[in-house]
Amino acid sequence: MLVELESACKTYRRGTQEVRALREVDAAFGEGEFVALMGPSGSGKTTLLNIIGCLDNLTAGRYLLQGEDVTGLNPIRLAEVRSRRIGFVFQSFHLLPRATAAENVELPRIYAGANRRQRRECARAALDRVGLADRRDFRPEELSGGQRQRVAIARALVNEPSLILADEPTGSLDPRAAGEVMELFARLNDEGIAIVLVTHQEEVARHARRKIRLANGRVLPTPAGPESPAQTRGTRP
Amino acid sequence: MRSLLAAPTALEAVRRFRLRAVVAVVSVATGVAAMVAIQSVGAAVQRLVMGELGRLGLQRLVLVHPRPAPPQQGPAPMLTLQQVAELERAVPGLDHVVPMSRMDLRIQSGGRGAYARATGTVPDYRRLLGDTMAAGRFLDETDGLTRRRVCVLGADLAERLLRGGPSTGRRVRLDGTTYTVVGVLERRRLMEAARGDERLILPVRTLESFHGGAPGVHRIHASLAAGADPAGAVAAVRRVLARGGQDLERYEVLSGREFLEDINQALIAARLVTTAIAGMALVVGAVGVLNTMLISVRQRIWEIGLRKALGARPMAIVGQFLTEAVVLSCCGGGLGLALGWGLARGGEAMLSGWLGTSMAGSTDWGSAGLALAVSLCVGIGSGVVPAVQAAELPPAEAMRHAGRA
Repeated sequence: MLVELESACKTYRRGTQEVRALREVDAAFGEGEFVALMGPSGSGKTTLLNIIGCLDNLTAGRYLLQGEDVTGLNPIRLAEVRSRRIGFVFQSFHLLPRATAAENVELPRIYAGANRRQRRECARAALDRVGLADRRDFRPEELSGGQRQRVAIARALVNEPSLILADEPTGSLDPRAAGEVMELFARLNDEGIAIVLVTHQEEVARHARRKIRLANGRVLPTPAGPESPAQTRGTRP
Repeated sequence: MRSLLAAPTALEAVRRFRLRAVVAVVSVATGVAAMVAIQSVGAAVQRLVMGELGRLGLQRLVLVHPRPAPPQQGPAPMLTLQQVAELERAVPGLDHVVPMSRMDLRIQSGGRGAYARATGTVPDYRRLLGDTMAAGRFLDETDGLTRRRVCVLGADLAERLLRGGPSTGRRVRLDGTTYTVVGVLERRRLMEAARGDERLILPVRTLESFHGGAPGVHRIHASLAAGADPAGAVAAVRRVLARGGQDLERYEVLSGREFLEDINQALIAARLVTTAIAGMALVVGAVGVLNTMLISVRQRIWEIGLRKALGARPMAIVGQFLTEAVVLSCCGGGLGLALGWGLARGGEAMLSGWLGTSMAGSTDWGSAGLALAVSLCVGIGSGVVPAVQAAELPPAEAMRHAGRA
C-alpha cells in the first residue's frame, strides 16, 4: 500500500473552540492510483490531503506511507519524506513571484542536495515534461494561469516522487486550461505516479479512477453503484 | 552541511528585495559610521590636546591656583611677591617661579580701543610658556625693578590695535596711562581658542603700582628642574605657603602631571558622553535591521511554509535567513566602517584647518570592532529568532499565511 490511514483524527484549536477536522478516518490506496478527495467545504478534504502530504501532524491515529509509520517522525525526517516521495500542487500555484520558471522548478532539488548543474538539468527535463521548455526564463507574472500551474506541476515532478498531491489544482483556471492540466495529471498517472487531488467539481473528479467522499470530517461509505451528486449534497452539515 | 545550500537562495532574496536590503544596510551603516567617526575624532582630539599641553611643558610644572569658592566666601586672599621670592629661595628643584596677576584694562592706540586681560608677570614667564618673539623683546628684570611702563602684546591684539608700521616703540594707553610696546609675541595658533594671541603682558610691579589693584598675585606657576620630584616639590610648596600664613583651604597646589591627568579625565568623560550618543545611533540602526528582518520573515511565512512543503528542513530555513541577515549586516557594517573612516578623516581635516595644526588621524579600531559586532549580533539575532519560530510552524499552517501576505 502507498497510503494507509488508521483512525486518523485531526483537531484544530481556533480561539477557544475545538474544530474536529478529521474524525476516525480510515483510508488506503495503492501505488499508481488516481484518487479524488471530494466533499463540500469544511468537510476535511484539504486537512486529509495535508496529512497525507506530511504537511501536518495527526492528533490521533496512525499514518503509514509506503509501509513506514510516519506518524511520529521529527520535522527533519518529515522534510526528507516530503522531499523524496511527495510532490505538491496548490490551487494558487504558490510560485515565488520574483523567480523564473526554471528557478521555481529547481527549488525542491536544492533541498534534496543537488548541485547547480544537476538542478539545471532536472529543471529543464521537468519543464520539458509539462511542455514548457521554452518558458524556462519567464517569471510567473509573464505566464498564463494554465502555464503557471504546469510550472507548479513540473516543480512537483522534479524530485521524481511516487505521489503527487494536488489541492484544487484547477480552482483558479478557466475550463480550457483546467482540461489541459487534468490531461497532464492523467498522463503522469499513466506513467505510474500516484495522484491524489482535492476537488469539489465532478468534472475534475471524472479523471480520477477512484473517489473518496468526505463530510463533516468522516469518509462516506462508497456506494456500490454509480454515485449521484445529490448524495454528497444530502450529507452537508 | 546541507543548510549551507541555502546560501544562493538567501543571496537571491537580497537581490530580489532590493529596497528592503538597502534600508537594512543603511541602518547598520549609519550606526557603525557614527560610532567609528565620533570615536576616531574624539581620540584624535584627546591626543591633540594632551600632546599640545605636553609640549607646553605642563608635566614639568607646579601650579598654585585659587580654588573655586562660593561667592559669599569672597575672593581668595592674594598671594604675595614675598611668597614668590620665598618659594624661589626655599623650595629645591624649582627653576622658574612665575607669579601671574590678572586685570582687565582698556587699551587704546590712535583712535582704536579694546578691553584686554592684562597679565602682570616676570621675565621668566616667556621661558615657562615657551613663547618666542615676533618683534622686539620680552620684559626684562629692569622693567620690573623700576616699574617701567612697558608692555608686550599677543600677535592678534598687536595686529588689531597697531595696524601697519613697526609695533615696537609704539605708545598705547592702558586705562589712561601711557605705555611703550617693547615686543610682540609670535602667533601660537592652537592657543587661539584660549585667546592666547590676545595677551597683554606687563611687569607685575608696574600693574600693581599704576592700576590700584590689591598688591599680590592670583596664581603662581613654577617649573621643575630636570630630575626634580614633582610630588616632593608640591609638598615643599605647600609647606612654604603655609609657613607664610597662606590659607591652603583656599589654594590648590598641584603638579602639572596631576593637572594633565585631570584634563585627560575630563576629556575621557566627554568622550564617554559622545560615545553614548553614537551608541544611540547604533541602537537606532540596530532597530532598523530588526524591523526589516522581522517584516521580511513575517511577509514570507507562506514562503517558508512552501519551502518546507518542497522538502526544506527547518535548519535550511534558518540558514537561509541567517545568511540573509549576515550578508545585510556585513554589507552595512563594511559600508559603515568606510563611511565612518571617511567622516573621521574629514572631521580631523576640518578641525586641523580650524586650529591651524596637523592632527594625527587614526581610526579607533576597538570601537569600530565593537560597533560592527553589535550590529552583526542584532542583525543576525533579529533575522534568526523569527525565522526559527517560522521554521517550527507546520508547513500547512505557515502556508495559510499566503492569503494574508
